[in-house]
Amino acid sequence: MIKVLIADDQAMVRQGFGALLAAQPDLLVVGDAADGAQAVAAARRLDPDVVLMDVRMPVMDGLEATRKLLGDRSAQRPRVLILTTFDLDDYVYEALRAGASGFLLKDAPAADLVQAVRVVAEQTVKTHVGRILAKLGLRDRAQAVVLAYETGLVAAGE
Amino acid sequence: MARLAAGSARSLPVVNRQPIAVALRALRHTLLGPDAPVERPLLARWPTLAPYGAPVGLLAVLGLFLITLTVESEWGLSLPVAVLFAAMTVAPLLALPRRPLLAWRLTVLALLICTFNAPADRSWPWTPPLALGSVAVVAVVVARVDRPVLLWVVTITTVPVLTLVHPDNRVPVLLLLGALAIVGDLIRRNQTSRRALAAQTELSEREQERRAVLEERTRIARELHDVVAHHMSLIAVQAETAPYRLTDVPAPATAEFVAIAASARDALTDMRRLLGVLRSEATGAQTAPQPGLGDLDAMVEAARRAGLPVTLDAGPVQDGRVPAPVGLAAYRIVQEGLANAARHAAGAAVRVTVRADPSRLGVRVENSPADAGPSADGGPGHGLTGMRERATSLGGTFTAGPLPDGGYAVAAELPYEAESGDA
Repeated sequence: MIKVLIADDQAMVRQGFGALLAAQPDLLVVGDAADGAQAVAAARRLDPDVVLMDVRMPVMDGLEATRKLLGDRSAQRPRVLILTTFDLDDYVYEALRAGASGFLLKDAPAADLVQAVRVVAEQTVKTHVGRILAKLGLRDRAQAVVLAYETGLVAAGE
Repeated sequence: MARLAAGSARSLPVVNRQPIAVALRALRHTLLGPDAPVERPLLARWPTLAPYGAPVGLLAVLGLFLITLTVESEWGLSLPVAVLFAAMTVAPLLALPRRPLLAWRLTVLALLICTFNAPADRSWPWTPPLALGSVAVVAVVVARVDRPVLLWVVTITTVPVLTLVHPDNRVPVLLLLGALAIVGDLIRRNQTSRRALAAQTELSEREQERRAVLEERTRIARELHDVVAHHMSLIAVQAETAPYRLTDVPAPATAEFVAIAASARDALTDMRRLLGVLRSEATGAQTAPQPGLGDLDAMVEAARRAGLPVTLDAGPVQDGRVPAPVGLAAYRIVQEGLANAARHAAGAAVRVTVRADPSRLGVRVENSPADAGPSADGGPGHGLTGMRERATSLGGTFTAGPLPDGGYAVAAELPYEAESGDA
């Protein structure tokens, strides 16, 4: 069972995604949060495998909450899947830098959302990729993308 | 700078190849060309004196005319000739304020002609008013013409000096002429560079203003986009997840929900393309939700903490019933109004009023008269423009202006159709 926490300030999104994910046999929605601070507290309490994290939230935004969650070395760190309402470009880099494992538009089709949660949770990283990541001190492929950008290995638009 | 240097380097040889043509053109201009434009009316710096300038000047000219007439008559000229010479003596002074070059031409004529019957024992061929007036005219004209013309002016002025002035007095007169020419040239160059600087400053200010307006307009469009995209995204989520949230949804309804979600996604895709244009300026990501009426309290409180004596008078407003774009516009208008009050009326009491009825929202920010004049006036600014654009883009009205008591008020009326409340 994959344990999922949903953080979004819109009740409709929490209920909708909650119902959608709960309907999957291999997913379990363990809780939800209406802002970033609640999300951090809930994640520490409920120990989810995946946190669906909205970007725009009151009190503490999703990027900050992601940083808090993933910067915490002592606790079991969940995977964070960023949800955005708007165009991806603004947040992708920022979110991945913060350590998020992926990002998704909120209006993505239900199947895509479910698939994204599974992929992030299962960590279907092939062994040799895993070894490269370990050498570079990176956690997953998303971080490898960040490193590639930062070192100039690839440039946006290529 | 590099381009400027290259340009002058290119143009120099041309000048050198045609020195005679340039000199002849300057001579032509000196004798027949248009006058230097008047940059600024005399006395513009002292507006209270300006109304008296013309009458006082005319009286002075009349006095000079009478003095000259007396002197010329004493020198034995017949009355008509004396009147003519006196008129020629003062005519340049009349022309001087607006047509300095013309005044100089008249002066040279007068210097050449008005020498009849000067007593042989006198060292100066001209009447004192003519001599002194000539100095004044030359002093002004040398500061108004460019260098080639200036050289001609000086050269031509030496003609009557060399031909008519007593040899003992020639050197001092020529020295005076030379000194005037140098000072005039310096003044003119100073003025030219100052004017160029002022023009550039104005240009960059206008450019800045234009950019500020564009930026504000982009911000408004982006915010409106965000509000709409937010709702559209909710529609997609709601439709997409409806079959999971509701039990016993028949298959046709499920298909319908899927279609609605797809339409919402298409709309969002189009809007994102639009947003790409709007966000092309590096504005950074917005990670806080768009503010609305519910955030007014916090903003006013923050302004109060910042030292602005502001009171908020918000009637019973149900935030949920006011559409987000209207709430956002109201918030931004109040925000800009408070900023304006802080900028232009430091220390003045500010009152924010928000009134909602079922179909329109009224927002008003007014401040009492400033304690000590307007401070740091930022010109017309784009604040008011932005507020007006926000109001009119929603079909509302916007007014701004001073109050009878010396204060200032901005007010907006924003019409809307009440939302169901659970959005």
